[in-house]
Amino acid sequence: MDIKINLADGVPLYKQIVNQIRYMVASGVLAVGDELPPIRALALQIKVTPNTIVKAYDELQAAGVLVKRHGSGTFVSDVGPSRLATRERRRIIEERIDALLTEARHLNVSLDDLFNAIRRRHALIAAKTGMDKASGEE
Amino acid sequence: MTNVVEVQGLSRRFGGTLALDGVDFCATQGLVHGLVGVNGAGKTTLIKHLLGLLRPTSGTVRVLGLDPVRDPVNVLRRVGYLSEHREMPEWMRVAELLRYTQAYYPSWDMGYARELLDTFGLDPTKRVGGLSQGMRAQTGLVLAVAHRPDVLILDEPSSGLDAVVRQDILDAIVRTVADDGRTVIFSSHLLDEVERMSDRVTMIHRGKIALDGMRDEVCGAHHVTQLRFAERLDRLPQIDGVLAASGGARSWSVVHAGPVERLRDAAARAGGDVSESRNATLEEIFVARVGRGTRAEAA
Amino acid sequence: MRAPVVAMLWEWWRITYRQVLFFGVLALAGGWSVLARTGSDPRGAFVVFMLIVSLAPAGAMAAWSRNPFAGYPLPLAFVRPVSTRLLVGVPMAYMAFICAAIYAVPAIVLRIGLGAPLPVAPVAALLAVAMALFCASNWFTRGKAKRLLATVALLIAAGPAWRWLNPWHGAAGGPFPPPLATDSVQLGVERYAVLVLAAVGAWAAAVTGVAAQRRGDDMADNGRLTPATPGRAAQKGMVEQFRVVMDVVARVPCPTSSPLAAEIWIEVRARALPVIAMGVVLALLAPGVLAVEGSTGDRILLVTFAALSLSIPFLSGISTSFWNRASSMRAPMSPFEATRPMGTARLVAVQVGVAAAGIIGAWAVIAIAAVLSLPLYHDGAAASLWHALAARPAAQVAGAAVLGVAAFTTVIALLATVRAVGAIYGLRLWLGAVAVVAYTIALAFAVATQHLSEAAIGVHLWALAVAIPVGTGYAVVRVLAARVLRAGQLLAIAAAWLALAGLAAFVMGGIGAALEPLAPAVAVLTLSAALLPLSAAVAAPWAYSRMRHI
Repeated sequence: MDIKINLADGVPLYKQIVNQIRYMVASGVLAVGDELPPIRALALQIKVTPNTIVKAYDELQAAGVLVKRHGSGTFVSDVGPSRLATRERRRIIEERIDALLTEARHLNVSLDDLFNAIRRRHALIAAKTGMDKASGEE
Repeated sequence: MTNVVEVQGLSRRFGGTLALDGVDFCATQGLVHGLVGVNGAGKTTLIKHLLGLLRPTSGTVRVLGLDPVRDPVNVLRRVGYLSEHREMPEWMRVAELLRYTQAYYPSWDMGYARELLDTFGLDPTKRVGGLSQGMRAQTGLVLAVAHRPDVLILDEPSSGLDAVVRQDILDAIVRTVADDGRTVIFSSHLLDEVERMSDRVTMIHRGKIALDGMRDEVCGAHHVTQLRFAERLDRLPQIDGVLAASGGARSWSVVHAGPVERLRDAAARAGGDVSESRNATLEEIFVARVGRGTRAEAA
Repeated sequence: MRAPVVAMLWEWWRITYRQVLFFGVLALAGGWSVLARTGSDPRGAFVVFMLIVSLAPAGAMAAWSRNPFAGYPLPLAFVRPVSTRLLVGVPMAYMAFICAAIYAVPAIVLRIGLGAPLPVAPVAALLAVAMALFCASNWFTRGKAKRLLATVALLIAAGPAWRWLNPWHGAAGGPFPPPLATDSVQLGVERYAVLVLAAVGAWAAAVTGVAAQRRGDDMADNGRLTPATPGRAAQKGMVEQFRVVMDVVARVPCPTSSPLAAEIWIEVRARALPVIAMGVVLALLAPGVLAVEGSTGDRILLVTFAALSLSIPFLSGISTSFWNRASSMRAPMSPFEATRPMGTARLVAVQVGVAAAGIIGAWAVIAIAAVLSLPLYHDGAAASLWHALAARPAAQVAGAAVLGVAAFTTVIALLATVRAVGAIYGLRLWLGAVAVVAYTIALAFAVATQHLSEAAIGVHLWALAVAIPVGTGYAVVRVLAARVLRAGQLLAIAAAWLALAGLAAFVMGGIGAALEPLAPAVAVLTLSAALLPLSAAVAAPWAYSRMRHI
């Protein structure tokens, strides 16, 4: 499992693990029923204390993302992964929007200008990926 | 949860200098405890008291419920220790050193020791005197963990080591805690290492405990916040809760304890505005608390 | 402090001033107090003269007694932008000056203040040059053996040099001590010139040697540039060399059955085997020595051999081996040793026991070899030895042997105690010991010159006789309070001591020794000294525990 810890951004370590596992579940990297690495193995892999992993797994279990089966291990739960996916997508996007809005306010960019800029970028990226696709198909 | 180490009101004087001044410290079973502090702050002195190598001038030290000065044998048998200088008899071979150390610990696990030697790629026929710094640290680590101690105490285990050996040491910490919930106490000047590897953080400054708490709570209670001001400032005005500030003119970055809302109110009175805030890293807290020119005394 | 020379002198003064001042004041105070008693007696002046002359080099050497570096004493100065000539010359001149000054300043003060006829200039010159030569012999190489050889060569050369210099022009042949006059020591111009040449030669030799150390050609057998550098062997003395040999010869695996067995193993390997190996080497030489002596009969070789055998404890560094573990100022015991889960009393018992056994073993090997080769020396020698032994009851001989072993072990234990206390109190203890030694010398002089009354001698003997039991009692209270020894262990020690005392009484009775004819003070002191094994058995664990939990 590819989890990256970043000490510089000030997010608690267990929270970083929680967020990344949520993201993996939302994006389908982790599917229903997949087994997560044991605590000791994950702690050795990403060099954090085992208690940090315990805390992260506990929180994910309480949120219904993971389920612990006694004696066998920790698995991705089947309790509405799609619902989770929707909620998770919204959460991630909203986080980015908040950051964008803060930046816009500092730079004195009005909301209308921001919308326009988003549409312009969208069109540009769409055209570019369209071209990429076309060149890829050739 | 039980406390395996309890230190109360510990003071220690070396001639005229007070190396430890009324230190209270607890280590809880199953947790990794990180000790941080500038050089000479008193980390090693505290650790030596836990091993009974130093006798308190005043205060009490209990390790596993015992006084390490009065009952060294029963404390040391259940403690693993790697000192900063990794003293070992130079003339012994690694295998001899293992056998020799084994004799002292009824719980010694030779299989585990051999497995670690293999992992580290250490040649058991080599003389201790001929080992490199890194190999010495690895050997010392094997000696410290092979009897599966209840408390593992590492004094600056990473000092002077390359990244590979540092990883070996961190792995040993994880294994010690993950297998049957033993306790680790380690001191380090590498703050990112401490932030990753400790559940509880204790900051020692000039012989006193400057900060002590669960890592997530300590980091969660400190923020790095950007402040903006309408006019240019040569000095940041006094703001409650601010431990350290950097930047200049209209834009300042401050490290502060307590919630952002409180800072927002305080900053507003000084004519400032909060633009951005995040949790502080251990290193930022450390520098803010014990670095030069901080406002720690005022806070 | 612009000039490097000034900076260097300042540095050396800072390192040495405590000892220099201490010895200077000691010389002045000692001299003053003796002169105050003897008045204008020129023989009293000679006693003072000898006292100050012996204190001067002692003070200069004491300044360096704690220096951990072999060869040039301040190797860290090699990185400074100063020529090697200066790097050697300035400290050497400083040491020579200090040595001369510790004599000259008290001598001048006593001469002016009390009119003591003390010669100044020639004595100061001799002391200064001797110190310069001593420095050169110690600094020119890092190799321990080479330094030892150089010192021995200097000592041997001192005899003829003294005869040629012929500085003593005072009374000779009369009763000791001779009267002293200001012109008792004299040196001619050409003598002074030769002394200067000797000093310059010493400097040149040292510069050559230190230059090699500076460019790294002379790492020799000492990698200890900074004390306790991990990865490098600590001071490799003669013991270390023998250990390497013994390591190959005796590779007995460490027993893992008990901590005690492992502790004995490590001490035997580290401490006893090298000493026994030295004994074996000497034992192999024994037949040759005795054969040569048997044919020439001039005894010089025999005396050298005996002296060498008796000095095994010093050659093996046993007097200093309890220091080998010293690591840093604040931790006199190496953490490796101090964090071993073993009680302090057992630890010190094993260390002292094995150290004593090693030396006694070495002596036993030599003695057996010597006895076996006695026929080579003299046909009747072996027979007369057996005859002498057979005349005594076997129990007496065995008892005497046991007492000898116990007495020697006591000495080693007391040494270990002093070492531990020294590690705790450092310089203070050292200075205290020097004061005691100086006091003893002064006392001996006073007794020899009959300046001390019977009553005063008796007071000293009584004080010593009382001090031993009081000190022992204090140590017993402290070990029990600190729980270093349990009551049961203490009882066992007391029982062993009682058995020894009984044995001593038996052996003494056998040779017809008795306390009655002795003066009461001497008799009490003898009884009190019999307590020493008990004192050592209690004091050593206590001192070690203070060092372990400092």
